[in-house]
Amino acid sequence: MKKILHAIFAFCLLSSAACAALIPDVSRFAVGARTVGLGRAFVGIADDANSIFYNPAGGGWAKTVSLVSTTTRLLDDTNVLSLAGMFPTHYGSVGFAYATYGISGSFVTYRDALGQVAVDSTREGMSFSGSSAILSFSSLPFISPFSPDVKATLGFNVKLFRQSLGGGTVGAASSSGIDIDGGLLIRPSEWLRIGFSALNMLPDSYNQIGGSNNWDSGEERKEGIENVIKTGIGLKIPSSMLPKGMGKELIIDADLDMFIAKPRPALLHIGTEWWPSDYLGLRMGLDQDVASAGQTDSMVVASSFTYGAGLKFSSFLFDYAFKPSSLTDANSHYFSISYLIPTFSERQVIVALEPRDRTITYKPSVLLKAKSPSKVREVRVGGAAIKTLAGSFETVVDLSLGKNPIKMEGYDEKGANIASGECRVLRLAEFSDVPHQFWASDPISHMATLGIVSGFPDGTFKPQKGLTRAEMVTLLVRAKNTVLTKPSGNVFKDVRKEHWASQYIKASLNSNIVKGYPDGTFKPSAGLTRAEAVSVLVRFGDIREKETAASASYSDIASKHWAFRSISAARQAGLLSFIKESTFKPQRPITRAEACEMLSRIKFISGKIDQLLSFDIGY
Amino acid sequence: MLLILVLFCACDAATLTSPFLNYPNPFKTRDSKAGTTEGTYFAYGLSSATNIEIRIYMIDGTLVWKRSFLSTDPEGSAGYHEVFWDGALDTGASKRQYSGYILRETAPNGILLSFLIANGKVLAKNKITVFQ
Repeated sequence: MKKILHAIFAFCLLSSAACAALIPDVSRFAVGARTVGLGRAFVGIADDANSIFYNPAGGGWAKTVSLVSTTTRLLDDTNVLSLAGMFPTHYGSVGFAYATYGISGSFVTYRDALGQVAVDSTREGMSFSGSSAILSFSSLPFISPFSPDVKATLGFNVKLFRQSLGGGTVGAASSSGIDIDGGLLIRPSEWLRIGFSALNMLPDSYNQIGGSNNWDSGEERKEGIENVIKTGIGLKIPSSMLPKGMGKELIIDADLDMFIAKPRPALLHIGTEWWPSDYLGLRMGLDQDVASAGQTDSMVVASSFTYGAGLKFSSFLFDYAFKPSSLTDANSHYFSISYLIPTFSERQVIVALEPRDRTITYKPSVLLKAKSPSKVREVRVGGAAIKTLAGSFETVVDLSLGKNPIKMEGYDEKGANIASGECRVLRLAEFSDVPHQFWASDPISHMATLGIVSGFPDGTFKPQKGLTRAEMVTLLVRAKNTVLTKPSGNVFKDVRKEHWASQYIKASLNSNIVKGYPDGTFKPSAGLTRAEAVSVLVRFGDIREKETAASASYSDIASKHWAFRSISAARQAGLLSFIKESTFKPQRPITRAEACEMLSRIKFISGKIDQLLSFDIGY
Repeated sequence: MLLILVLFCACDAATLTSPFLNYPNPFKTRDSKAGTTEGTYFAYGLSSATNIEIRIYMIDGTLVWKRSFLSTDPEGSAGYHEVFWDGALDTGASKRQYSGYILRETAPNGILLSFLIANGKVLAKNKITVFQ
């Protein structure tokens, strides 16, 4: 992601460096009334078809087809008309926009007999018009590299510019150019959006591929297309997050425009939109632009407030915006009409009522009860087809140990897939002799679900049973997912290749987890004491004793005890938190429950458990 | 009394004695690369001395050039005047060092809007054409 942003930045640095004149980008002033009412702050919000002009990544979030048509008259003389549309598909959102502007009434002049300037009435007036056609595509939301909870979309535009100038002594001249835009829209949460866009990214020094506006008559003339990098933060606060009585929705957006290749100040745009009801929206914004300061090569940032309102009727939205001008009789009024085609490609949702999404259970199967849209006649769950009755259905779903994404696909009477839903269920392992209130029931259940430990064929776990050296080695090798190889010969004198744990013992030897005795034996059936188990686990987890920490040990563990350092390190790392007494009892046999508890607190094992319990990963 | 006040104000406001135009129109802007300067002259006639301002806007509404003159300046006095504009934009990315020469951003081909403003009020509007 960083590389992409760096590439865009470098590309923009190259832009607009070669041309002495820049044409205004129609995207700056042909945008919808809603955008203008927001002070042209739209990069962060980018939630309607106008996002094509400011941040093409906005389309990826669209759930309905939307069409927006806008008209305005700038400085009481330039007529502007634009049309933008956005069409969500299963692969991303496709958009188009067309904007056009025109002005006429410029006359050829001459010097009369007195030397004063006069209009040459023998020649026709001159007119100027321009247009921009934009084809846009935005990806569907994808999980961002920053966090699995953050989704983002990427979008880009291809733009074709055309201008024509005619009449008077000009004759007929026209120009054309191509450029591209790129955009990124990140949604860390439902109400927060962060947007970036780079408009007109092509360098104008390479007119073979675009980036400039080239005239086909008159002198050879190449004009640049103004490039700008925009960043924006948008807040879209629903009624549930607003104080009671504060309306249906509040939108706030703040954008910053930066001109990388030009010595221009950054421009700020701030806008807010408040919907007190479902039908009426009110807007206000602060819009900035550069303006002449009245001297050569001197400019200032000119700020102006904008105002707007929107009226929503069924699928239609009427928007108006007012932008005052410092000139009398030159205020700009924007009018837009939007048509939103509801649920064109929006998939309907099947909602699981029981079990709820993100359920944890110990049962091998669940009775799934779900609510489906009324047009759904049949639902397929895991390959099984179920007829729906009055918008609901139920079926028994078998669960495997671990994560169970239960996918529900709904079909109408013609067999078209019109709805879908998902219910995430985590099934944890359960043993008949480990009640849920048992002190180590969670680590035993988690480790068994991960396949690190297993119970006995009669469904018990025997948590108080001691652990042999062979069993401990097996547990550790499974925890590390070590690849097992069948030994070609005996592993130790007392571990023949036919021994049930010979593969695990060989793997642990290769991984340097355990060692044998000097007499060439391993004593696989010997029980492990607490001190021995802790020593092995500290080595296995690569746990180091903190040098600065005081020797935190037990009354029966003298500093000369052979396992003193390992026990201290294990205690500092939290492995021994289950021991509430002041004594450690080093010679006491380690139990299966204690081994599970300690192992579950080793860092990379606890990471595996966290992943197991997360509903955002692996479904 | 009100009538006298209205008459007084009307007499005080400057009017145009010759139209607000530019010559030549269309015109070529100053070209730093070629080293040529054509530009255009804004011509106007004032009935009385007044504070004036000439503003040029791109069609998107951006104020790209502005010059102000007091009634005591020659350009604000009564009579016929001409003010020169070379086509360079005050808001342009000016003075960029490019291949060894200074590049100033000039107006692109097309029509721009110019306004003659007297004491804050638009006295006249004129459309100017740039064509290289």
